[in-house]
Amino acid sequence: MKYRVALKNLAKAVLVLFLVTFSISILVRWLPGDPIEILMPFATEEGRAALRAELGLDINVVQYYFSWLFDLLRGDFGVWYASTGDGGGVPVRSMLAVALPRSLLIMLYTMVVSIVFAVPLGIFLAYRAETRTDKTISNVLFAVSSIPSFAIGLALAFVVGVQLDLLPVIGYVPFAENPSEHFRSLVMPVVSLSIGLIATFSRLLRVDMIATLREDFVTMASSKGLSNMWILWRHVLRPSSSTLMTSAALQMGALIGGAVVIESVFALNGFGMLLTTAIATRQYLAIQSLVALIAIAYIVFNLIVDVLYAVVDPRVRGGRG
Amino acid sequence: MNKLSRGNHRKVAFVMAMALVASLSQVAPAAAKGDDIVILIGEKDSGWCAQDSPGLDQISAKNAVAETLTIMNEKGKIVPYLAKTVENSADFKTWKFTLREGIYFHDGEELTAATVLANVAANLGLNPLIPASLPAIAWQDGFGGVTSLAQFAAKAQALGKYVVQFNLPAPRPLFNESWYANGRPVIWSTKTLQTKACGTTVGAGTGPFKIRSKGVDQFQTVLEANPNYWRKDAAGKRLPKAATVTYKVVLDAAQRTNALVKGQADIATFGASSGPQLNEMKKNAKLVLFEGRRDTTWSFHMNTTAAPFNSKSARLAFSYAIDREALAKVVAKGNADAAYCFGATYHPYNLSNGGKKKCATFDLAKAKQYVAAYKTETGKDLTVLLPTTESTESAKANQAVCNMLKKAGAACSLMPPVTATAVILRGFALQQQVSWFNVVAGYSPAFADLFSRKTNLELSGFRFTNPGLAACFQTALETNAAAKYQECAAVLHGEAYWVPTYNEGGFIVARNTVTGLGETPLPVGGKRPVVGLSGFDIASVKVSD
Amino acid sequence: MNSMMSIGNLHVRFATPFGSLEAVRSVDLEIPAGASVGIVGESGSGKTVACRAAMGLLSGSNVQRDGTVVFDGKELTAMTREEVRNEFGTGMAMIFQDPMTALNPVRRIGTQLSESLRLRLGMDKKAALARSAELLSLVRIPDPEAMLKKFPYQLSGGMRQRVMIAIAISCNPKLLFADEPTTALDVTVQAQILQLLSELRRDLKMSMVLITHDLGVVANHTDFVAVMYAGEVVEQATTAELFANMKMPYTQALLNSIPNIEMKSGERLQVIEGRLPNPVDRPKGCGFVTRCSYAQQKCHDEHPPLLDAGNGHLYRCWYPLGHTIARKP
Repeated sequence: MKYRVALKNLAKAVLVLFLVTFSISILVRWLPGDPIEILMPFATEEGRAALRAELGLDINVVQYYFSWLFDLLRGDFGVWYASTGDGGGVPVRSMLAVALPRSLLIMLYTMVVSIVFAVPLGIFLAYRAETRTDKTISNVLFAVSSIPSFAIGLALAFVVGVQLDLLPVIGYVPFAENPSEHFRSLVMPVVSLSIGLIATFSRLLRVDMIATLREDFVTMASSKGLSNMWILWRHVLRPSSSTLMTSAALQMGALIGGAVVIESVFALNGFGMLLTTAIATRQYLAIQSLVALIAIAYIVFNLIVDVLYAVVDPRVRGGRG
Repeated sequence: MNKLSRGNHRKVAFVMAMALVASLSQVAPAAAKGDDIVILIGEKDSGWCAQDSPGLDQISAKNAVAETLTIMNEKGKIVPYLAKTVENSADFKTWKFTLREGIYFHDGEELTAATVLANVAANLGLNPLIPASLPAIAWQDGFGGVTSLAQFAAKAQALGKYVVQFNLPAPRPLFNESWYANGRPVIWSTKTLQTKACGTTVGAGTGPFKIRSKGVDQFQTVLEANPNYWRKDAAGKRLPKAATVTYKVVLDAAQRTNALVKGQADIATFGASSGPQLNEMKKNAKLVLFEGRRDTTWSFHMNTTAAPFNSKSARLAFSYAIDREALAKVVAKGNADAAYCFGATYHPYNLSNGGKKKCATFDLAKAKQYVAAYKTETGKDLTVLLPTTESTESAKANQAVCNMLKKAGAACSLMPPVTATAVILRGFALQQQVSWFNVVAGYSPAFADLFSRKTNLELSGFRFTNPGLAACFQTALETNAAAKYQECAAVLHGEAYWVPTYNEGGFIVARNTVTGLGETPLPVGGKRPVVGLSGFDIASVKVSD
Repeated sequence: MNSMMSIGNLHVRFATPFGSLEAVRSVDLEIPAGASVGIVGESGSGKTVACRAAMGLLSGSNVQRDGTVVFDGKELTAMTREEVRNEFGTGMAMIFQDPMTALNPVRRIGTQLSESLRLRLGMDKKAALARSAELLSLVRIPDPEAMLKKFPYQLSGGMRQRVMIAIAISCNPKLLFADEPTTALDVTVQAQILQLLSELRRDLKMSMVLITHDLGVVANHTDFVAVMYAGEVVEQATTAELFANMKMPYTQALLNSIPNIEMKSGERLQVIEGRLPNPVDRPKGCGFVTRCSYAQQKCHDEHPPLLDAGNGHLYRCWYPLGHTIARKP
């Protein structure tokens, strides 16, 4: 039973991956401008023909898609063509080796920070639902969730970074190089990204918790003489967390490729920046590989959340009685 | 399962929290001290090898590692550098470069005539590892087309270990400047030229610093002192003074400013378009600003192969519609001059006669007249589509231009923003009506020449289809006669092939703890300018505590 | 007879967008120690709200409770929330109507059962789990050790209700509210559960309030009965007296709506025609008047007071059964 569900999910994931990557192969061909002219305006005819072949522009999309997919599965993410337009370049994989770890870490820290703050806040608001405190804070959170993260980032960089001189305003330091500088370099980016998420997550949790608080088992728990805190954390939180988890999974995917503005504000140069540059400079092979990676990330995070659902809600594990 | 793992989670969370607290409680580090210099540049540090054509910011990093045979001094004159002497025949067809002896590359190779020849071959696109590109085509132009090593051997020979001689098919009075070209044609070691990674992650030059690491993502380059550097300071002491130099790419000018104010960096480069930041920094006592001479001209280059700018009326409408004073103010906030002619007054193309004359003017009535003329000619409204880059400055500037065109009665909109490189590449690919970019004018026509002649360069995005004018510039180049340059430039402006907008000099901003900028003496006497077209001389730079 | 709980003049009002809704009106009720009291009424009659209000389980800013509730000599209505909470589990406990929803779906039976033992009685984890297993065997659950590790969704309705009973009695409460404990269960299981409750009450010497809509259940398992209608107690007596000498037409209607084993298949159960009065806008007279076959003009005009038949049998009717009033055609 369980395995069938797992297999079904996996099959779905593979299908999604196929659809995403295949449509990207087509979309990339639809981008305006002849890629050959853009990638290597100075190349000789032979060079152009070689690039044409490498980009698969001389074969049909389906054929090309599978050869690309085969390369991807072997870990060949293609070439990042140099801006000089001569057809030279570096492997996309080596670019990823730099950009991906930092983006993953930023995503991870952002998620941890967001959840750690959003959960107690959401619980508090649900507990105080419809009181003046709740209404005030909820309205503030609504406002906060609509502030773009880069605005927070710029403000933080100026106030905390420059005026108060507390944290570095640019750059990324790998953990292995200097753990404390690593965290210091990421505090402001992570805070900038987290504030909106905290607002979003806590409001989602609040709504679900309010619904759960109306459940019989909560009254039942009260009738056992348990403290409010115990009831909220032990009885109400878990059954109320599914929307939060779904949203978190989507945000995790979005943070991998979508933190580009914050990456730019703090000069972090992660995955988002790589993808943006790839699109702007028509790095056809790189775009396909990077988008495929994002699709994989979304799928993986959703699978993780499926597993988490099962951890959080045993009914999912066994198939509903 | 619950209890055990939950306990562990708590422990992990606790450790992480403690690490965070510990790291935050540390005092923020002050500016990099002493021997380690951090320099922020505003564009990605692309490849440095022969096939690459890096921008100004990247060149200052590139020139810390590898050097050119000739160089520009603070007076704008080209002087021998790695070469000890440069001699030419009266007809400017034979050029003899005698190299300085005892200069060694970072990988131990000695600089010899053979190394120089290997570099020229690479520049000409004859090195199979280094494919043809913009600079290669430029070199081909000078050599009259060289497609094989045999042809090359006939035109470039080593006369002894340290002497190279070039026999050019046509007169090239500015050939010594081609060897400077604002820091581009540097000399690499033979081994460097034999690897495909040349100039991307490896590269041994003769410069004061050698590559420790050069990020494949082009966002960070770390250099360390070359202990065997050939130049000495004024007191005869060993150079360079710093132990390491780290170039970091920070695309956003505001963030470069923040980092500089905070002391996270010692030096940063800015363009005039970062006007607000520059004005802010001028007020900061901890910072020192150096501005280069305002001789880099930002101009619109019309694509005359397609509508609407294949029409002279459209070009003139555009040129008359632009209020250059207002634009310079919008873009640079007082850090650039309105440009009515190409180049500064001392540039051979400049027709302003010491500032008394204008090549182009802002005249709304005339602009409207030409918009109407375009309509009569073609039956269509003049519709302009401007390319923009992702920077806010670019959007602001282009919007300002658009508004000026609208006032003249033309329609105008902005293309979706892309990177600066993409704007240029699209220009090459003739995918834009115009390109708005800077041509480094400097003192000599050597660089502008690359863009102004109809040659086999086929710099299509910047090309004007006027064989007569191209021939004019060709003659001017071969004679290097000021009168001829002026004659050609008059056509260039009269036809509004190029629409100059403003002139700027680059900015270098340093913390006041930085010493030695532009202080190193050149071997033939004099110094490099503090802010030059090939960056600044880093050899004597040091940060005091 | 000692009083276990004494409810005096209890009112419960809910603020709604349509006005104040009085769900419980002036309810007085005595629960003698050791006794079993049945509260009977249709759904919506206010019996559940009255019990939850008496216990102090109603919360929310839109709830207003008035009146006095004295439990075991302590006046609950004068105590703080925390003090009242201290009575939960050890003093009062409640069994809920729907075992499907009253157990937390994501927590194991053992966790839900042992948490009150740990938090309320201060047992350590091991002792609490051991005691939990004992409690499960007390409610006749086979293989209690295995049951501890299960989740609610893995159990049948009857088993869940047994688990809930085990949770309710885990801290030896003095007073057990059982709110429709069998409504959601199969008929055969209902009898077992009621039997279990009666036995537990006897063995553990608890008082019990059995809330139900089924007079048949009351007849077999309670000592006293209070019948509620539209938020009011309309009839109250010892169980024996009530069935021997029924006063209220409403009580009789409830009795007629009990499914009878002797009924022929296909025969329709007699349901009470009409609906409960609108609690926001109550009629001036008797609340049952529109549904009562014996109603007279006086019933429309005047709200009947609670009258005493003399032997403690209270009723709220102008024309009680046995009175010589002609039934309307």
